[in-house]
Amino acid sequence: MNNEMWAKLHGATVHFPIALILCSGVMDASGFCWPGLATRRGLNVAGYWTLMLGALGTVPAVVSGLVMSNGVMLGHDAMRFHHLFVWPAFALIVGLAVWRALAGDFATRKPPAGYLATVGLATALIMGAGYWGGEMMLGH
Amino acid sequence: MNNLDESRPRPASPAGGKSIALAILAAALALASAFGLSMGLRRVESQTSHQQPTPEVWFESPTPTSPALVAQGRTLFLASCAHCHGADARGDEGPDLHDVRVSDRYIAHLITHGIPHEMPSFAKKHGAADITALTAYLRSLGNGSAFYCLVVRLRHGARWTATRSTSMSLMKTNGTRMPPRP
Ligand code: HEC
Repeated sequence: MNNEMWAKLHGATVHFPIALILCSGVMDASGFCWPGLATRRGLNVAGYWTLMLGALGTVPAVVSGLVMSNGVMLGHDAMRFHHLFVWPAFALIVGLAVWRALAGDFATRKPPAGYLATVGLATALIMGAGYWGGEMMLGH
Repeated sequence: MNNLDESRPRPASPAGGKSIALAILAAALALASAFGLSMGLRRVESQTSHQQPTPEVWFESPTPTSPALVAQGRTLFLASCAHCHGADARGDEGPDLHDVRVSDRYIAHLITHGIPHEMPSFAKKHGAADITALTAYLRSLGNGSAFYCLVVRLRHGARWTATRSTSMSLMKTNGTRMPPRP
């Protein structure tokens, strides 16, 4: 397969983790802000599983990105900025997912504020990565 | 019922050190795997010549070469090409240029026209003389296939091929100074 095909696959795969992790954060945050909500438990269960799926989704996104660039970890200019956001985001998301899976019966429990803050940080990093990814595509 | 999960005994320490340490370990592992994949891909990339060997290399009249030309070509290479192809031409962002299997005409075309989105054009920077030197340098890094060597040897005589492939070692024996590495 040529790089162009991998570039398309990258575009096709990155949006799943972006959307899932953003949704996960929003649902957990609502459960956190309104603990009395009747659907609170359901929100946290959904937050848990969207995070897991999002974390799984980072794997094809990262692999297709690396293959399309022939294994560039940093690169230059827009590519460099893209990666400076991507790698911390990737590490955070994997870390968050593993922590949440390990930290006991958390699917139905509202996660602590520190967790939500970290998801917020990961989301901000993802946005930065997306912004520079777009810059790369538009080209200058 | 709704509060069942809340009233169940909490796991020893949900936010405890062990889970956090494992999470950090997993994050580090994920980054390390990405890095490993990257190294593997770069290796494959730098070992594959992008162009198929062109039969043209067997028929074209070869670019002249000499240890002095090779040395000159290396200087030009370090100035214009090394930041992509590596100071030793073993590949970096651009591919490894040892044993390239493309023709001299193709190399000259590449230097003057570049490759869209991949390699810039050097039409303004390097004229015919520079291209000759650069080609001599690239050829000194290896002649490509053994078959190509044989054909060139038959057509141009052994002496020429010997100069072409051993210019680097000749440079040392002649006392021609190699330009220092950047
Ligand atoms: C901006 C980075 C860059 C610079 C500077 C650059 N190259 Fe390249 N070069 C590339 C890339 C990338 C490729 C591979 C393109 C492809 O095949 O898709 C390439 C391919 C080549 C090839 C073809 C190799 C093969 O096996 O097919 C040759 C020969 C070459 N470059 C020579 C040069 C020379 C000589 C210079 C200096 C005058 C130079 N390059 C400068 C990036 C660069």
